[in-house]
Amino acid sequence: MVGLLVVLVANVMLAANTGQYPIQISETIAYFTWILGLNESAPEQTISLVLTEIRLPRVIASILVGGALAAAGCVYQGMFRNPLVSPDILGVSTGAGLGAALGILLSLSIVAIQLFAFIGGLITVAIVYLVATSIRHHDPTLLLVLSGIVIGSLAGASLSLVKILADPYDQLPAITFWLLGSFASVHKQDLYAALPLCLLSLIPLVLMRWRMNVLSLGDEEAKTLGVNPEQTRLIFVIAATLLTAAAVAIAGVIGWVGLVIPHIARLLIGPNFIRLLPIAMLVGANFLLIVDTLARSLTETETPIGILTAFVGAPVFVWLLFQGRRSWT
Amino acid sequence: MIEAKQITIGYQAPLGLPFNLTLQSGHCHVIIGPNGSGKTTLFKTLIGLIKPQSGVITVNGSALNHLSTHARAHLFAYVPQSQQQPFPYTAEEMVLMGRTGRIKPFSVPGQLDLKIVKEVMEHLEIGALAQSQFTELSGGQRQMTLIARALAQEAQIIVLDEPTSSLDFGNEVRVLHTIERLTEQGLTVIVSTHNPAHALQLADTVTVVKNGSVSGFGLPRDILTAPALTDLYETPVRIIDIDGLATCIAEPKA
Repeated sequence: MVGLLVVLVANVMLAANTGQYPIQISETIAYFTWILGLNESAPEQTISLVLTEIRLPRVIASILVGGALAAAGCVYQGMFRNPLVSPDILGVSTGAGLGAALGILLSLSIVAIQLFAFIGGLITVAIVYLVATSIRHHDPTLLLVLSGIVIGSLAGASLSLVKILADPYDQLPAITFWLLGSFASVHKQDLYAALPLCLLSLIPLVLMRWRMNVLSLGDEEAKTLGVNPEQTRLIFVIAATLLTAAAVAIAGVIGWVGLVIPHIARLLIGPNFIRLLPIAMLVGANFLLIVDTLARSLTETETPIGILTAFVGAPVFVWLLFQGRRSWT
Repeated sequence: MIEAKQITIGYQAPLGLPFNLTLQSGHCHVIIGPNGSGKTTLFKTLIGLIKPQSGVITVNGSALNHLSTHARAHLFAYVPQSQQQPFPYTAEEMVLMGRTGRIKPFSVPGQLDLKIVKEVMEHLEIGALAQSQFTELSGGQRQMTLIARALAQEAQIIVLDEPTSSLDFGNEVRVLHTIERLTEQGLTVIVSTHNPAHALQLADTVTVVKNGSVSGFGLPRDILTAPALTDLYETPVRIIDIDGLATCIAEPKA
């Protein structure tokens, strides 16, 4: 945990130093110590402007989205007792994407777009879960994944419809670029809207972290151990969907983080949700911060982050499939 | 004491006729019946996992369906038939989950809970498995871990669903001896089994389930007779006596 925090601090420094405008590492350190009140002398105005207005919002957004998607992934996997589910596979991201695209189409405020993203995500996960549980006598895991794919593609089709209806000069580029996933256009205002949403949805996850373990044993056992599975699951679904929606509203649809990061975290610390949640969030935050730093420094034009997470996530996931023994790590 | 009055059991519709059943505290009650007789359905109905189709079940005078999930966890500890766990919790974490009903909803298990878990695991002689992954344990070790979890729950009644169904002979004997020890300690134990020999070994009372209803209830010596078992399992059964202990075998082919 301490190790991951140290890595995160180092990552933040690296990310703050990377970009078009050259800033010395000593200047970045001076800036941070000034912010923390450890240093009296204010940094140069341009440096302060670049860091405060451009790079730091982006760094904080990467940390926030990485942590939120990883936490949501842990919750979905534990709750559905299935290490293959994630916000993407269950269609939540696409549902949230559809909601947010509708918000952009209607030229709504960032808060309203986030609300739309949340409702879109929640409706999708509810439909996926209802479809999967109402069909009996089939493998429930397969049903869940299949209905996720089906409902997800339905949401994807609706998203295409929204794109057709969007103004091609103004709204369509906004929707398209945003769907590829990017932190390029993150402003401080986006963070003011998303940060409370993330913190709010983390509260029940932290408070009920032990119950998440019990829920992952299955409904019957959870009941006999004193946990009401329906009620508890509802709280977790709302919290995880809220996290996904907040992430989608800030940075668009970023795949793979919610699926792969919980696996890596379980490999590091085991499945106990008490330890898994903070570790997964830290790994997710580190991962997305590194990927975003790469996205804006690898090439002249910025690579959409969704492309990079897929390039990293897909091979890691295939490796995990090969590793799959009797149990999932 | 569990009292079922004129209940019918089933998921969508009653499986059989209404029946009454009274299970006293401090005894070992064994539920037997052939495959598909409704044994597990009765079992789950008695501990409140399924609602009866009709009739009322009371536990120590309180109606079962009026009790909260939390209150039921103080009454019943459940040992499932098999545990398909997708995540590799340690045996100790699995047992610790038994403490959930004893801690506040927004709390996590503390030192006292961990102490109880360690004691229970030592008591069942599986202390050495504490840090092993549950998913890597043998069938017998898993069953013992789940029994430890039930004990850590400190419930009044321990309910075991076919605890030996997937075990080899050695593990079967160990699990049966553990159940005997639990009964000797004064716990109320309800066991369902597909093997009438286990009923002869363990039971204070035997409940026979057939066609979704209770077709017999009483002391083992009254219920588990050769003709009754032959009729129940539709195969010739013989009761034999080994050093004063009754057991049953399939009648050898002539």
